[in-house]
Amino acid sequence: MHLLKLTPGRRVHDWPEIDDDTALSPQTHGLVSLDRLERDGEAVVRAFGAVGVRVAGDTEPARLAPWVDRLHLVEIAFPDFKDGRGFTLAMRLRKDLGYRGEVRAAGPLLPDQARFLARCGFDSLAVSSNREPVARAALARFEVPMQSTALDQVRADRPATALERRHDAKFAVA
Amino acid sequence: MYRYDEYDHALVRDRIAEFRDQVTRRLSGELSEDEFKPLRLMNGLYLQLHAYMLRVAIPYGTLSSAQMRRLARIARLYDKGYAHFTTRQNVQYNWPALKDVPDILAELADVEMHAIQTSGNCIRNVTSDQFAGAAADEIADPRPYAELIRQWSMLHPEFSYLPRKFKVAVVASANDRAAVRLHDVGLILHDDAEHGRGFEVIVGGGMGRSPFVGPTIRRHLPEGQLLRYLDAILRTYNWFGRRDNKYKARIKILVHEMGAEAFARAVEAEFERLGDANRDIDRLAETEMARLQAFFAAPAFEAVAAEPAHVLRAYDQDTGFRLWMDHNVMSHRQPGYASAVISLKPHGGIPGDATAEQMEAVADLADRFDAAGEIRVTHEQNLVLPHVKKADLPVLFAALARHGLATANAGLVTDIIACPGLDYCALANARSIPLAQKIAARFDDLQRLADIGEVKIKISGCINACGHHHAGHIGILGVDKKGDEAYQLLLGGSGAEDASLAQIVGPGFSEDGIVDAVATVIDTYLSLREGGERFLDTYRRLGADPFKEALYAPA
Ligand code: SF4
Repeated sequence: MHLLKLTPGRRVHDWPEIDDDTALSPQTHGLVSLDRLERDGEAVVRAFGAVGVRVAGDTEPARLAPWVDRLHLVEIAFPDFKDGRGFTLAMRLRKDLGYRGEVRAAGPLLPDQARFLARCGFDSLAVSSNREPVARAALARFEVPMQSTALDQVRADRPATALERRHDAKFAVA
Repeated sequence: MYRYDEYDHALVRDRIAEFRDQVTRRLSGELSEDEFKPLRLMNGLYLQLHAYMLRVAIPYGTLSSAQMRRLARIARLYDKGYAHFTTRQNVQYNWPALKDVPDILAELADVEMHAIQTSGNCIRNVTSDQFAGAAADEIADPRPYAELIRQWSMLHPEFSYLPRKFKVAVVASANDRAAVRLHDVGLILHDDAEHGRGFEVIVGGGMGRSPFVGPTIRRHLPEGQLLRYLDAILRTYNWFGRRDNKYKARIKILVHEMGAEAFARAVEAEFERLGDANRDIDRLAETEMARLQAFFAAPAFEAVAAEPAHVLRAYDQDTGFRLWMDHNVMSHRQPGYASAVISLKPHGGIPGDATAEQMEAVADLADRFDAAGEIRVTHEQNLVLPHVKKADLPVLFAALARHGLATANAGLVTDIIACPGLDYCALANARSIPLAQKIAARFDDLQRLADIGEVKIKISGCINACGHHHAGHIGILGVDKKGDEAYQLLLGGSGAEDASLAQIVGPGFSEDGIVDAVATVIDTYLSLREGGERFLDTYRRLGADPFKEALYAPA
């Protein structure tokens, strides 16, 4: 597995995964399940310099609400590349919960989906190395989106849409 | 009509490059069929019983003559010389080779067309009124709104992997010619003194296994907020829609299971959350609307006689022309003009099919006779020249007749909608097209058809209802009866503003039996109708009983 950066500005790195039965020990980064976070919350936050949590694509955002300020990574695991709930979960995390940390996509996604992921607020994608070139190509395609997303107003690092380029002087190409 | 700018062109170009790459990866085995399938579907490519089928989008059913000529060229070069116009105002090719598809897409891109999102679990091609811009009863041309939605839905990053397909229809007239109450989202433009211009929003209608007439969840949505509201509906559906069972995954099931009020509350809450941060989106959408409206400005109509004398004379003297005028020519908002329906339902033909020669003939006639050089595709699988001078109608009629395109049966018994059925479709229980042909043969007398009046017959080869049998005044459904093809008869459906679902009358019929049954239903109607009643009116007045009696009483 390889980590592909989807948003230019953000630093992404590998997070050691701590499974639910392993004792917590101090470390700079640690990735736990949402169940573990809910069980051992404060202890997790104390043990890790930066806390990451892995959630399923259909997780109720409300479960993440109490933690958003203390999380540095939310890894959204898609059960299937056809299950689009993960896209909406990332949107909700950002726009409804105001989460600012890294959002990572994992699970059996297609490299072809990289651009959509980026536009829904994902910063990184776990992809097998042989599929990375396709993901990179996908990321570069469709440079000017036709629509705004619900996220656009809370994001500076996004491409200007066709509508904005047509009608808004500040996006006009010089 | 709408013309692409650099952004539209770039998107379609990128899409072709992407698909070319995906086809290569599929052919090399890098992509499995399971992975490739949703990708090809989102480019309109199905695998049917015998071959691939490519469905090309005709946004809201509007085509230029140049586009029609290109569709004919593709039929000739890459298919068997014909194409099939669908109930969703699209066009399908039944025999393309997979390796040719990227080239076909490039041919389409040359004339500002594509196959994007004509299939798959995404927002599909937006449909609308085939008489948009011509109808006397419209508040405004609905197509700028449809175009706004088309662009918004193109490769939507959040809503391309929905639980199931998602169809939007827009009308701007009290007479619903796009069956909006039978769509995932239906939009009706209203304009009243109190609220101004805005949309009634209907959600969760549909046919298929579980048919529903969609409920209204918002009476008045200011037009500038349309995209934001659609965003809220789609997010609610994407999140809550069922993914455990594909037959329960459409939004209609979600709306039904949650209840329309609870669903509406969830949408309104999401809409509110989108509020403050997204005013810019509303403002841009309004600016974009103004740009789009300019593309759909009325063509330059001439000041001509409202009722040209030579046309009246031809009407009196030529029965064939009179029948065609009565049924295929629709009134226009401009005096001296009319819209002409070109029937793709010749008796004995395949409903919705046109040969390359016919398509080229229609393109030529559009150039010659239509004020905008435009052609429309109707959800009843016919074509329309929307803006024809009445003075030209006799010449147009004669020209159409030379190409087998002047059947005077629009809205009549033989204007049948039939799904592909067992001849093409892997899911079918029974044949649809041959049945439509048999019914047409039984009613092969234009004068008799005219006497019977408006009857909408719709045939589906299985419960998936692609032939819209629930919306038929007379619906026919192919079922599997211990390995034999059999048909159920349904009566009383409508996809119009008085939308209703047709109900099964009783036990099913064999293939010959169902043709007799349709004849019996029509005879019963003729014996019972009062005044100017249409079949549907008589059925609604009397209910199913007299028809049941005639159909099932022992001889
Ligand atoms: S209704 Fe059934 S038979 Fe007809 S096209 Fe649809 S799936 Fe195929």
